[in-house]
Amino acid sequence: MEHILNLIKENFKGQVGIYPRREGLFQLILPVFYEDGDMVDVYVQQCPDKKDKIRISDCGMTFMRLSYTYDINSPTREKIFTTILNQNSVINEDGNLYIDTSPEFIYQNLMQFVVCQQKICNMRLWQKETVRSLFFEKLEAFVESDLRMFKPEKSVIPLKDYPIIEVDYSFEFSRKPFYLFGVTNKDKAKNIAIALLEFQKAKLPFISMVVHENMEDLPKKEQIYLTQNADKQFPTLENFQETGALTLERMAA
Amino acid sequence: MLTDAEIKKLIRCPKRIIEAAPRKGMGDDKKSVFIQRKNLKLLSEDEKHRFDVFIRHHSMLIEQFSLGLNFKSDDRQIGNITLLRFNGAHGQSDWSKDGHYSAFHIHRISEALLAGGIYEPREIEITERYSTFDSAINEFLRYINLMNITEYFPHADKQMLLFEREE
Repeated sequence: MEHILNLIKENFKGQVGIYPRREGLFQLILPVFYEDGDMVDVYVQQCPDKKDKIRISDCGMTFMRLSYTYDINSPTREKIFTTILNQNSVINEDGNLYIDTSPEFIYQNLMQFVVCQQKICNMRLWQKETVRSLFFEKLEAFVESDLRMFKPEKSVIPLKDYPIIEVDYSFEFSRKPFYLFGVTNKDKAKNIAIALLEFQKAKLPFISMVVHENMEDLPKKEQIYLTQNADKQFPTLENFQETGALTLERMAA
Repeated sequence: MLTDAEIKKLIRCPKRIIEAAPRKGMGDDKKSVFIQRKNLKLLSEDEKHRFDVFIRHHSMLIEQFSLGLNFKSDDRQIGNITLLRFNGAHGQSDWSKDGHYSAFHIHRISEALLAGGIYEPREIEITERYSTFDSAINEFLRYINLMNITEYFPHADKQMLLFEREE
């Protein structure tokens, strides 16, 4: 292993520290940083099953760092994660990310590896944009497939004099229409409460349903607005997917 | 945007644990055999603010651990933000300008960082508040002013903060 460590020092022109952390496992101290000022965690060791190769790994540290604020706990996130790994030729084994490399390509593969680590850690930055937009995509997919027998119509304006008040979905299969709203934040919650009050003021016949991305994340005030004005609330999309169809049938009866 | 005074108030305001996963001890991470983890959901005593705490400990490199306080802001620009993070030592030496990487250190967010559009806790302080994972938990949970620690951490050391000082 010593000749490999010397090769690394040579490739990095001495701009790398190498320290044994456990038997046969060496930590590389590289001048590559995360946004919070900590350096990336990179380790090298003899590849366990290919004696002519070196394993560059993170000993699970990338996952650990990502998990501070972001978990890969949905099929979409899993897909994004796998895509990043595949595009960078990095393998995941039980949370340990690694590349096996020949000694002559160790410099290039080390650089490739640290870039991949940073891309993985930056997945959490997409949270607000990507995950929030996924909620409405998932809601749409569910409504238009599993609830199509209830004749859903998207972006309906119940009050012609108030075209700014729009319902996410209307279901007009029974004597009273069902108006469905999706909620991801407190601003939307307030707008829904206002819409429902306007419908009540105009004496519209309707039944209102609200699907939350996560009801627990909504501030108490906004939870109260909706509880006071909506006929039925689903605390999560998953709950709506499980019980939405039955609820529509029961409330229409 | 949060000021330094508001950040300090959020960190030090009295809070209660309302949910813990797992309820007792640390749990295995579903995705990684290297990580032991615990998450807490907190509510401030005045019920105005919500927080998450993450606790992570590397099962092989036991000096690698992290305990953080995330604030769930109503400000859409900020979103969920890490106010404070207690870390173990990452390595034996480092390239960092302050030498923090190879020491126990604390990351903090600040008004200046937020004003610059940086939402990472980039202000770093080398610390002697703790020297092990267990002492870090002890110090961290008291520092963020949890009212019901023993309900969820029955073996928590009952000593006061090791370093009581104004900050």
